[in-house]
Amino acid sequence: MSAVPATSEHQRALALFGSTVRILVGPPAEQKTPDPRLAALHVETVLRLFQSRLSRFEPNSELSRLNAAPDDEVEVSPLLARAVSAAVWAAERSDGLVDPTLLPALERAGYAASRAGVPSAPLRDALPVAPPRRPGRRREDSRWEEISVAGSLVRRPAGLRLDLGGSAKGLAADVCGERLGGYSSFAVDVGGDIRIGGTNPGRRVVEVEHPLRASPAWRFALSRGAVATSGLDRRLWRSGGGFAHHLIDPATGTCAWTGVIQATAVAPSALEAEVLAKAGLLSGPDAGLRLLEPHGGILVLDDGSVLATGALSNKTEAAA
Amino acid sequence: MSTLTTNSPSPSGARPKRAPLRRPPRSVRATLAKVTAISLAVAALIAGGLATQMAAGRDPALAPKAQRLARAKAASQPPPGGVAQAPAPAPAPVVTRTS
Repeated sequence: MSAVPATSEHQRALALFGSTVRILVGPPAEQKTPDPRLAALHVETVLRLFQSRLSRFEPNSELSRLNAAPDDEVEVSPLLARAVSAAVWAAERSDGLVDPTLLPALERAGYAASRAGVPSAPLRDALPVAPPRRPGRRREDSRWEEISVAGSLVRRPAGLRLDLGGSAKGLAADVCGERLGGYSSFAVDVGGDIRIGGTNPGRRVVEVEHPLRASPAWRFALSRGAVATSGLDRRLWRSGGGFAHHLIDPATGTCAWTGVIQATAVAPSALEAEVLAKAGLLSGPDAGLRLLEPHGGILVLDDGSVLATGALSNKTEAAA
Repeated sequence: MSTLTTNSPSPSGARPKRAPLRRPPRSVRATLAKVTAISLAVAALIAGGLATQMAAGRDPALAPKAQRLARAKAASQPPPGGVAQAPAPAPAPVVTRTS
């Protein structure tokens, strides 16, 4: 990335969610608004709460306790209730492609423990030996539609375990953004799922990292809204005689090889951007472009070529 | 208010005594003072109100179009006692990537 120009924003970076989180807060819009450094600390606290409560890798997290609970109705905290609601919404929004009930399939693929700090296998090695490409499809007998949230109660079939990895980062970015509305500009980058806004934010340059090249895949400007990217390169490992990754085709319960290796989506919220990015990758090139077109998006294909759609196709500011 | 009488001779030839100048009664003086004070206060209020409106560009003497222009000019002026603000620096760029 090019050198960071001078900015009036306070910046704070930390390691969370197995990735890097970056918090940017501009000057307060009103005199009574707290100092941006305090706001960034508050946001960090919120994000740490998300990780501690929602990580399936932490045996004592609230999500792990929910997954271990034998009852079909469990009382949970407001944060977990909101996260489960978001996961169900994600499944509805993606017509079942972003399915929170695929934890058993993830574990069978080799993603039972956190891969934070574990080097990813080279994507260039995986692509030539990957299975034939086909778009992902929803699982017809999936039980995500049997999950409901009523106040602090989560109802799901007893024994149905949930993975919130397809929606929690985007939700976390949105929740943090809600707390920064009193500042002239802000950006909350939760491992690449980014919520942007402010009272007078200006045009913020967004670079899309290319999974196979050092140079960016795309660059555009965004004043408000969100952008998220989903791809194969960071969570890829050798498995048997081939390779596996963390994006599961719900219909087959195996790793999805769709011809798309990375998808970037723009949306009004980080949650929706994250869902659209995952669904865009799982849908394959043609359906993925159609899915991303309304708000704008980028697909990177197996051969490294980049396709832009919607507001991003003419490299002007995305209208999120 | 006293009225001076002319010093015309009386029919008897003797110059009549001039009636002494009489000061207005105390109650009249007090009333005059009050009226004067109130008038000055009202005038000051009116003048102050006009000045406030004109400073905000709402000159009541101006026609509607001229009032709009005056308001726009007032809004573009730097704050009293300060200098015009420089444009805010651009927000920092961000990179979206898989994680």
